[in-house]
Amino acid sequence: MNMKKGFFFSMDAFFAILLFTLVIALIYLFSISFNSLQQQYVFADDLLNLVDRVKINDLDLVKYSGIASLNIKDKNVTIIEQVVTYYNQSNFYAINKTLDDLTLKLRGNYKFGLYIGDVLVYGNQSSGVSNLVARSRISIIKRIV
Amino acid sequence: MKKAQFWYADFLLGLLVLFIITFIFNRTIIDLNLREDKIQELVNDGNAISSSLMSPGYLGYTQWSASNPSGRIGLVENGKVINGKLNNFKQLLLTAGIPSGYNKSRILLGTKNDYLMYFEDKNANIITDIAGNKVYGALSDASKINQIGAENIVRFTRFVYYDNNNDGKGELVKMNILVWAFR
Repeated sequence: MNMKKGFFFSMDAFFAILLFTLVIALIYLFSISFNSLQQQYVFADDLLNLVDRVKINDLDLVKYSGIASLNIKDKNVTIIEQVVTYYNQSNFYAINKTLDDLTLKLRGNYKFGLYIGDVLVYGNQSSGVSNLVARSRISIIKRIV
Repeated sequence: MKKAQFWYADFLLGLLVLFIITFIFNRTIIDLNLREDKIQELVNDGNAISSSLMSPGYLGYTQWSASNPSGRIGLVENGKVINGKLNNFKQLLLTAGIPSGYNKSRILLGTKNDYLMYFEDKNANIITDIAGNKVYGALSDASKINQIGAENIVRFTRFVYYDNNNDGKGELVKMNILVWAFR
């Protein structure tokens, strides 16, 4: 019998393996990169709790040289009360210094913006962000009109 | 007219490749699902543990360490770690017996997986408490954190105020909770 020689389509086989590997890699990447917003949620919640409950007096100002350098007279106020005081004075430099000192190293890759009412007093604008969590608190503060 | 040709070797090779690919594909998908389920379980446990520790808790060491433990382990009030509650927790972990204090803490925290908690300052240093402890839970040696070697491990980070030496002056720190399982 006069039989033809068989072909082995090397390029096709190579592409098939490549395609198969790609699909498996994509499934794996998707499964490990699925990112929940849970950690961002607790970060926002914890941070609001802290600025609302912790007083400047409670802080070891040796570890917070930025806040210490602001020479706050009345330290028996919460962090958010102090921020609002600076906001009333339009002292955004002091707000940045206070909140940077408290959170910049601690928060790692997370970015946040602090709004008082509709006014962004610290941090980043929330527009154009793909993963965003918003938390709010009602605080009683003294406002100078 | 030529007779039709049938290349048996090629056909068998093709079938073999198909079987191998199907086998690998199934294994990958099944493994991913199993792993996903386990990670989800760890995430749920981590969430429950962190919620409990971030609460004021109720009852105390006596009820926590009873042979049939009751209450809720909690360390935080108004965002601040209360050293008295942390001491109760540490005391529970040191309690000997069957089940051990650590296992009682797992019952109270509602997890069957292993866990570990530690505080980390803004410079990423693990904070030592007034009694010299650094980590609380399955391990007592902070240097072994990187040697856990579990297949699945999740970390939860909460943010609290902690005054480690009880002098009335503290700092904002991370409370890290690791939960892991070997399978």
